[in-house]
Amino acid sequence: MIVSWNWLKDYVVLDIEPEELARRLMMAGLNHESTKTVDDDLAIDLEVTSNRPDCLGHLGVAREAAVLCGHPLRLPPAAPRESQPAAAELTRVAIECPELCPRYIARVIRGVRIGPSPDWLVGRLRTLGISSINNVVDVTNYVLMECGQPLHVFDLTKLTGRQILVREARTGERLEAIDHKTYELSPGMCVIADEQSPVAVGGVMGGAASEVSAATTEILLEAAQFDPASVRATARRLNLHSDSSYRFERGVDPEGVDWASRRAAQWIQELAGGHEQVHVAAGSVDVGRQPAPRAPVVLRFDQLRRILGIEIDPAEVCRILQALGNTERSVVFPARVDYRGSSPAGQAADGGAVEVVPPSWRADLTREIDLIEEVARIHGYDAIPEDVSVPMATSARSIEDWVLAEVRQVLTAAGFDEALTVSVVEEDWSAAFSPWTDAPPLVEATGDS
Amino acid sequence: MALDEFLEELDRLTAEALLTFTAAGDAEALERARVEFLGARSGRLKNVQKSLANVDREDKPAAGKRFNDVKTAIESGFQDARQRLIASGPSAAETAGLDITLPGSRPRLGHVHPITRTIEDLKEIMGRLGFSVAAGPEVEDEWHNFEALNIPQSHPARDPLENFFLATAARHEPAAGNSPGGKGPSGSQGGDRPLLLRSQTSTVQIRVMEHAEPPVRIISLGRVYRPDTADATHYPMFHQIEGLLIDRHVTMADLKSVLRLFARSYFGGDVHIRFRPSFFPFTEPSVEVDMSWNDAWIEMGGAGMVDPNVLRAVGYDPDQVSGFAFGLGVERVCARRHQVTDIREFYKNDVRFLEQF
Repeated sequence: MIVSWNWLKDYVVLDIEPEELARRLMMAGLNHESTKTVDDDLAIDLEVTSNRPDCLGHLGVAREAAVLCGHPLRLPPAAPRESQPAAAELTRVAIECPELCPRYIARVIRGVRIGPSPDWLVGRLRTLGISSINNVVDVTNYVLMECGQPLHVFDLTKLTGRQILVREARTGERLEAIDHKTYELSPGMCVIADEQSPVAVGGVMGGAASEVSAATTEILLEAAQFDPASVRATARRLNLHSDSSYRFERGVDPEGVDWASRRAAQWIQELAGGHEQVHVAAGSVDVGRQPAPRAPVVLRFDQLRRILGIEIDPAEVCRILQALGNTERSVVFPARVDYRGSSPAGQAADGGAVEVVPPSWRADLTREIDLIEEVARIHGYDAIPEDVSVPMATSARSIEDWVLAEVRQVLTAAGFDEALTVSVVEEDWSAAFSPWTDAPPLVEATGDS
Repeated sequence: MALDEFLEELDRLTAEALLTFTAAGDAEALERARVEFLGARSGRLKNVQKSLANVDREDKPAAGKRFNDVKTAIESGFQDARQRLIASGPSAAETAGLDITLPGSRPRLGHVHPITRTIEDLKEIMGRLGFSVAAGPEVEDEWHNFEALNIPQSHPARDPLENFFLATAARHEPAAGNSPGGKGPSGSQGGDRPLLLRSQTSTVQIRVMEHAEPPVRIISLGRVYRPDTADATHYPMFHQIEGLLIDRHVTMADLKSVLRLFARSYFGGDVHIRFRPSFFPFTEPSVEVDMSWNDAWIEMGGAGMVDPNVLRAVGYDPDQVSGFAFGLGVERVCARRHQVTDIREFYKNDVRFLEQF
């Protein structure tokens, strides 16, 4: 994931050098691959592990930086100026395959003027290695890279029936995607369709026929959630991958889908004609499963010592969890904390605990052990000592090892070199070395002896 | 002096000389005899030569001639005796001793494969730290390779293109009772499906834990298989070595300390360990491990505390026991130690490569 230094500064105060930020992010979980200069900006390439899809956008990385630098996160506004008629009067959405697409949000924006994007937007996309297409498409890419939620825009007039049907593809259906290649679709793949035919491969790529062109004035803005396994399977089968499919494969923030939709609508309104010309229909057509509230998780303070081997002040633990977006529901501080005790018996009977509700963008935080990891990585693993004494134990050498060592010694003394060959061999090789046979014996056994 | 007297003397001298030469037992005795008879100043032959002057004038030619014959006979008698002693005694070469500058005949010794050497080194170091070796099958079922290791069906690691699933897998019916939680399908429940070539040696850890109570202190090692295109740093088959310690009160400090002992033992000198947060499905917390070397940090492998889901899968209680696991790729360690730049060399088995180890 490449992040722009200038862009990050929109969301958090960065009063440290870029190298220092990269180092802190690396020591908290985002490996620093490289930093390159692009015009007057820096492109910082960070490795994001598959359990942290929240960091596949600048806001997620900025949140990490905010926690590590002790500054607040500035969340930008996502509020377009809405007007009548409402979106529900201008379009319809139906989901036939909720297991492939649990949620679909459509917004309708009319009166847009397609044109070039402003320089600052083109520059930020360029830092990330993304080409500018036009103001509306660029906004969808911008918001994708801002919060990690993939978006798509259709020319509403090119959707037959001006509505969306989310369904499985049928055998024999084909789609020319915006990369101008044609793909064979099959059942099991989720497609976005209009009354007639598929207009997009769900979560992967939009179709060319309905894409925004210079003449477009009415658009349908899609923000949706797709099943990760289904998107991965579809992308593999079609050999078609995108920044969108990458994020859906890892899971998106259920509460962020609508935010991204509003944020993009706000930008499109501002950049494609202003609120006088561009009408964002009020509300949205929001179909499918609404985000469920997250279950609370309890972290017992004495478990930190038990797992990590170090003491961490409970107040610090609570600070870290809150800064990461966990909502504290209740906390009981330990009655007595023995920082010098080295065995669990030396600690207070009641070690205290904190109960939090994890944020919607962290699907990976569901258990106490997950919270322990969060506290540890922010507190810093350098606090864990490398010189505690480990109990001694004996080890046994197996007979097999002993025999192999003898065999090796004899054979190398006799002048043989040891070769390691690939385990998997061709069938005729295997047959050549197999002594088994069904052929009749060379000497017949005599009847009874 | 009369001629016949002189001649008699010559005969007596010849006989005596030859007898004495023959009787000489070693080089010293022969030398004494030579001096006595053939000595240049006072040898007996010389004395006889002087008394040649006393012989009558008309006998001198005969006497002189006879004297020369005798001289020749005695001298050749001496040479014969000398040769006899040389032939029967030690040779010059032997009396001079062994020539240690001569090259020996060199036997051709065989060579242990560098990967084997590295594995044996690592086994030995971990053995001294109290970790015993465990081994397991290379053809595994999905429960041991994924589910027990907290890798659910939706995880990208289970993708058919990321593993060597066996063609025979399609012919087997799904085993009944193949459920997550509790001990696995091996042994008691039956219905093991050999489905794929294992992608990590953590499978062996599961097999050990499901049949034993804690404490567990093992290293599992062996070949693993992943469909990577072969190039200088990747190969579809490679070797892993993984350590596992499960007991009551095992912490990340123990993990860091064991890793430090291991690194110090392997590289010699003072080494420090650094953790960087990472992600593996079977550990939580998960870290990448670096070790310090010449003022730089170099990657050693991955590690973490064993995920409670994994402990439960093998029948342990995560509130009673905890543990750590760590893993290294053997090829990478071996290549770094011996400066091998292309790991495909390990499996070409070119003798010119093998005999360098």
